[in-house]
Amino acid sequence: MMDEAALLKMTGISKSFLGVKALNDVNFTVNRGEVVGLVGENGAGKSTLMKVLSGIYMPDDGRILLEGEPVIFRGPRDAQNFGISTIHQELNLLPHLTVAENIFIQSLPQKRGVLDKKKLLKESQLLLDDLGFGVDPKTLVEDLTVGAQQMVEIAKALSFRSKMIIMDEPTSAITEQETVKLFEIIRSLKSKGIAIVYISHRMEEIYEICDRIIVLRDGRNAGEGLSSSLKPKEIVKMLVGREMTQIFPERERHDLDEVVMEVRNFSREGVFDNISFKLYKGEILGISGLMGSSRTELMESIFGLEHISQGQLFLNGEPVKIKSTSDAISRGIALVPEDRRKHGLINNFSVVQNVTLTTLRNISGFLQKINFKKEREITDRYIAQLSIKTPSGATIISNLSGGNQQKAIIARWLECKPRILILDEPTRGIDIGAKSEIYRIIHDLAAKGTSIIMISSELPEIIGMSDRILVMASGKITGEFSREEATPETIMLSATKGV
Amino acid sequence: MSDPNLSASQSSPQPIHKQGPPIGRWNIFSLLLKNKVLIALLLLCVFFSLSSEQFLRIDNILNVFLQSAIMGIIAIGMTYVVITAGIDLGVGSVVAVSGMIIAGMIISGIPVIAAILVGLVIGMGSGVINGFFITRFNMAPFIVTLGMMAAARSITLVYSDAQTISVYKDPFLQFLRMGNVLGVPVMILITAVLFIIANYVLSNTVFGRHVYAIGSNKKAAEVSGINVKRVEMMVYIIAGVLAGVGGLMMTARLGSGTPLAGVNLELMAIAAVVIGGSSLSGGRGTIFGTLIGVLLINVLNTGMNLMNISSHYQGLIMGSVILLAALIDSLSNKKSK
Repeated sequence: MMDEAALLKMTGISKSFLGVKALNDVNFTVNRGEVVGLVGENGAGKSTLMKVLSGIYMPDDGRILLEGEPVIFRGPRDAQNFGISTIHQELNLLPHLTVAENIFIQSLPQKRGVLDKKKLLKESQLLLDDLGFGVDPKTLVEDLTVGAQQMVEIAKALSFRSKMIIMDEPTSAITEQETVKLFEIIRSLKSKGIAIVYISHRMEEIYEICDRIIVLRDGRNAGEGLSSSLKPKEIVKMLVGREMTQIFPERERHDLDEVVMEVRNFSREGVFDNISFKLYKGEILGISGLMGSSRTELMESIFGLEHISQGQLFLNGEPVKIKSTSDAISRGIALVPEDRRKHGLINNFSVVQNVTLTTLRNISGFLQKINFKKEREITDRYIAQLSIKTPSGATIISNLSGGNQQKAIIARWLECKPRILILDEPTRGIDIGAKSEIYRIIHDLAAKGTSIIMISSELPEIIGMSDRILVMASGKITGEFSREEATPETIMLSATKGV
Repeated sequence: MSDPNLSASQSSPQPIHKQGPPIGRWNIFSLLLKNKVLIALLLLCVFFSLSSEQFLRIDNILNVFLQSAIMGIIAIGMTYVVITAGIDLGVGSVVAVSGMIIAGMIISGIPVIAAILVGLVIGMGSGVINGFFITRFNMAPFIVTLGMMAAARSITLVYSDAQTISVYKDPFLQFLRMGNVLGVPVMILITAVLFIIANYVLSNTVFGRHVYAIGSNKKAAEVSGINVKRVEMMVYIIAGVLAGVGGLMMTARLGSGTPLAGVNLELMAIAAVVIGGSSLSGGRGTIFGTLIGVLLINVLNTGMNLMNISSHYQGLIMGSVILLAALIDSLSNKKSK
């Protein structure tokens, strides 16, 4: 019955990247005038699916039926021409142009080769009125709030006569009032028969605005249901329902008595607020939370990469001020960054040169002359110890696989001999074998007395590795669990609390 | 999710400095690619020695090196700056201002050593000013040093009232101009020493490694505990001091401080650095490459003069060579990515 009315029907969609299946036989149906919530953990395949739908990726397998007709999207323009628009999390507007120019940027009205400003203003005003969005079309986009910019994106989508609009985390950067306004607009679009695919981590919003909820997990359909009948607990179960595999090392219980670091009332305006926690010697402290919970920003503040507006840091009971990364390193703190490419790798350096980057001074002698032999020896030791797969230490690091690059970056930080090691998403984008090796490395370090803070979006990883887990949401700590208390459900509930 | 860096075998090796451990697999093709500028230089020499019998004469060869001396010293500093992904357009004017002030002070009776020190301090000061605006306010090096280019030239004109200040008879400057050690002119000797030191520092020291790291990934360098601002400051100071040295050499060579000394010198130095394989987007380059680039430009200049090619055409030829060098570099980079 539903199928007959379906606006869009995707069946058996599969897509792999270098042998990793990002989507595996996924089905996805959207009806006219329906708001569908698409839910899944990071890496579950939501974005990939939406990129297939908006023509950015070609699926390896599967069919897309639009109003019953099979279609193939060869590019974003194709999808747009068929009436599918996407509003990305990072908006795609030209800040120095006006609202009107942005709305019609792809088909600016012309008169004898010259921009027809009158028509442009008139048509954009019509669209904006239709949306009930009171902004002067002559305003520059850079002068608008993020919420208002989103409205411009929606107006732009409507200018293509879209039948369906995909919204990726639309409320992640806007205020509550703007969210209310956004929901009003979504409802009015719905009444005009326009379908919305709504991607969000925020359970309350999903329930408020969506008619139907589709859950993805590990690139497959994990379940779906009408929001009127599906319970939050059931969704959480679908989200995390995978088996915990035995890739985590056995962890012996040990006493948490010696505090090595204490964070007291850390705040940064608009990012995180009044964060306090303690870190014990030899402990693995897991930090869980969804994207946008400001976990990374908090750690960067501890490490001296970002400033704080308020708060104190204590190392072994002594108050300290960390002003720069070299400050942090000299105090025994190391940070393996989340974004390996942007914040970790020196792409045209060899493995050796990458590994020794932070500790070069220790192996340099008179006039800072680098001891090349020592440099190679250190690296060879890590290559063996962390089983980094590389032809030699002299290989340029960009020729290594992601997992081996990550191990080399970890080696860089281990060589600092840190007392506190912060790992931000240490296993993102690497294969399962390398993952379990990295788990073993982390485990061994903790066993030798290094205190570990591990940020991760993967629940099994957090639960399998941590002695203690802090959950963050919207820049606050919303939960703390011991290893025994932590379950995927309790963590997920805390992570979506109050947002 | 997707990992474009898995394709190990198809990328050609790209050593960042010659002292480093041997990198990747070698074959004739990559060896030629690596030394393409050196090969171009040799071919050019062969061509000119066939077309002009004067080319291989010892005085001509010395002349090529002498011509290369000042440009080479400037290009050393430029190499450091360019590897950090910066640029210094001010050095040509700084050559003029420090050269002029050295001349002016000698004329007014100040001891020559003191005058030279002041000249070097002025060069250093220009570097501090550049570095300050670039690191403190995150301003684009292009604009900051463009300002320095205009300002330093203007100070030269004000100081000298746009006149030449002759110091032809100063014995120390005469020694710099004409003296030689074991038949090698002093200027060439000084330049050679500077090249050796600069090469050593860039490829063997912690500072040199940091210069490369900042140029290829500034953020990662910062995360890794490198004091990025200090290193950036240092490279502009190095460029400035070397411009001061260049000013001294210029005044010694010409026997006078002249208001238009060093015009376009910064551009020729940038050309030499790029021909020598440095990337204007940072992270790549060698002092050895720069030396080859400087020699190539000067061999071309001298050779064209020997062949009596009209100066009207020389710019056209030089321009084409620079373009060609950059093109080859860009193509071979694309291949390795």
